[in-house]
Amino acid sequence: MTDVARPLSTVSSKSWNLQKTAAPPVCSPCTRKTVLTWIIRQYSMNNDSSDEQQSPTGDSSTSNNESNSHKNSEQAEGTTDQKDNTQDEFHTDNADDTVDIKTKILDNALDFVHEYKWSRKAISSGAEAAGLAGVSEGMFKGGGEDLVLHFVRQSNIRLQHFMKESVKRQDEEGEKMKSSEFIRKAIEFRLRLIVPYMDNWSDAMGVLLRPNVLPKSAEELAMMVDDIWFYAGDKSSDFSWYTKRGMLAKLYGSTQLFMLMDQSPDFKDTWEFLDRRLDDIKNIAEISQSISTTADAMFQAAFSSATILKNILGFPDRKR
Amino acid sequence: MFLLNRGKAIVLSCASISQASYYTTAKRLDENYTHFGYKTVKTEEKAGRVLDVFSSVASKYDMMNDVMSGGLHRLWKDRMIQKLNPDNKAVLLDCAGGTGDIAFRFVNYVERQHSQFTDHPNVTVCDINNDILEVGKSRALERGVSLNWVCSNAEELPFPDQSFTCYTIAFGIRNCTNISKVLQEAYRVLRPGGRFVCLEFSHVSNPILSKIYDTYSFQVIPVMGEVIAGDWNSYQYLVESIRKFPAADEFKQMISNVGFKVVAYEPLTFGTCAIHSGFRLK
Ligand SMILES: C[S@@+](CC[C@H](N)C(=O)[O-])C[C@H]1O[C@@H](n2cnc3c(N)ncnc32)[C@H](O)[C@@H]1O
Repeated sequence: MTDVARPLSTVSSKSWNLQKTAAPPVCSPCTRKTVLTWIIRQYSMNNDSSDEQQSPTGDSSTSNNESNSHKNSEQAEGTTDQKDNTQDEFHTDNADDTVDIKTKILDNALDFVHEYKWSRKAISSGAEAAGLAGVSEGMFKGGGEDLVLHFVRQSNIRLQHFMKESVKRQDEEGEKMKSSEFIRKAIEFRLRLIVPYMDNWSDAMGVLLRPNVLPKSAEELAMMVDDIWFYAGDKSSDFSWYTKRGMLAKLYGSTQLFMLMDQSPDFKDTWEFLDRRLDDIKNIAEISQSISTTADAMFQAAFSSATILKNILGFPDRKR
Repeated sequence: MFLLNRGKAIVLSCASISQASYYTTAKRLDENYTHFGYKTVKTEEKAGRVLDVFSSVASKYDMMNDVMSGGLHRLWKDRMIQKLNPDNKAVLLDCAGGTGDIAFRFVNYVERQHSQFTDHPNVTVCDINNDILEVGKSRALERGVSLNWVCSNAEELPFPDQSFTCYTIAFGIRNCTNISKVLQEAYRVLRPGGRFVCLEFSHVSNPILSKIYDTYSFQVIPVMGEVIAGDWNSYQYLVESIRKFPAADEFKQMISNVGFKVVAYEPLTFGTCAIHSGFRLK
């Protein structure tokens, strides 16, 4: 897609080892919400102790955790729809006009996610809406995966525009926002882009965590986080990029998880959760002790809970 | 066993003759001549010769297909349709469609995938040979499927521009005299967003396999052709025409040249076959 200048975009791909976190105590559809709460609580344990809900008790079966998490992560792969598994295909052609048409198709396809989920069907419907034959969907080898990634990229580009505008306005008004305030605005803006797709967002997160997609989604996340720091105008040199990335990635990841189960009007609870987590960033010294400065640690921070999430998501909606 | 042995001796000698004539005739190829297997024939004659071949084979053809590819052609064809992944609004032209094998698979696929939608798939089978189309028509009757059957040369299709969303051609394009003309016509009759998919024998890339495959295809296949279809010449032709067909990369370039985008191919079964695909985007 359109390549926008990024302040820092090199990510060492070798360091994306996912942390093998112990699975949550329960894995069953009916307790999904409780488990999510449990995850979020795990998140908060570092810093606060009192204000989150209790961890679920009673039906924990620790002995099965290991095997469950394996099985589920395999199952999770089938969630959206089958894709074209062609491995040895020789393929060229990324001419600009082709890219434009592809973008147009995927943009239109987003209108059909509600109806057909993140699927090839959504893409073919999008192609038709763009005035092309539905079979042009076949250009997208990853099927639903391509659609999810497209959405993530478009959203990150929109966030970038939003931040650029905010900075411009601040400069004009001569009034500088505090970094933490700016970060809060940015994250809220970015998360609100997900709202129209909320019914299918857990599916999308499952897709982003597939082993073949993860390198791309992790890179998108890293670049997004870099962008936020860049526009927030943070000049402090006390912490490395990796530390900062880690903090924000974790903040974004956990707030997104919270949002998945948030039933409050206009996601009020989510924004409160975000505010609480932002204290982490304000008290940066405190945080720096709990996050190590390697790239490894950053991705672990962002995805460890996500790994658990993936195991949970493997469960409920797989009846096709 | 007896038949095979007898056939093998004949084929061995014939295969070496045709190999030799290939090298001499290759030099003589000019605009007025085209290849008919390894025999060089006048361009105007080829369509007629090809027609003869398929007329003599028509009804036994499907059985031959099974034996020749060890049943693999079914998998290849299914893969082709799966790759195409037609939606319920797809409009198909199956060119060189013969007895309608691809067309039936297409209809099955669409009905299976989109059972909730009522539109009956719109499919046209086109072939240069009317005998073979007749076989197809009676099969369609048996199956209770209604398709359009059109007798025409793939190089000059009797359809208006942008009439279809899918164009398939399976084991047909290598029989055509002017491949570029076939591709141009495919592009013309497809709507923007439409897809061209071609299943065709290809050259085996691994040298050892290629040797085995050569031996197999030049010596075993025509023998089986004689045994099963009672027509040795026809199958010798089929095998030779595979050899003459451009290599996968070259064919891919030809597809791009007429305007198709996102052109790609997928080799199947060690490269004995390939599925080429391209999209018309404008
Ligand atoms: C090997 S058969 C393939 C039939 C069918 N597509 C299948 O896969 O079972 C090749 C077919 O191509 C047809 N054919 C040969 N030359 C052609 C041409 N120039 N235009 C249209 N069809 C042609 C023949 O009549 C024959 O039916």
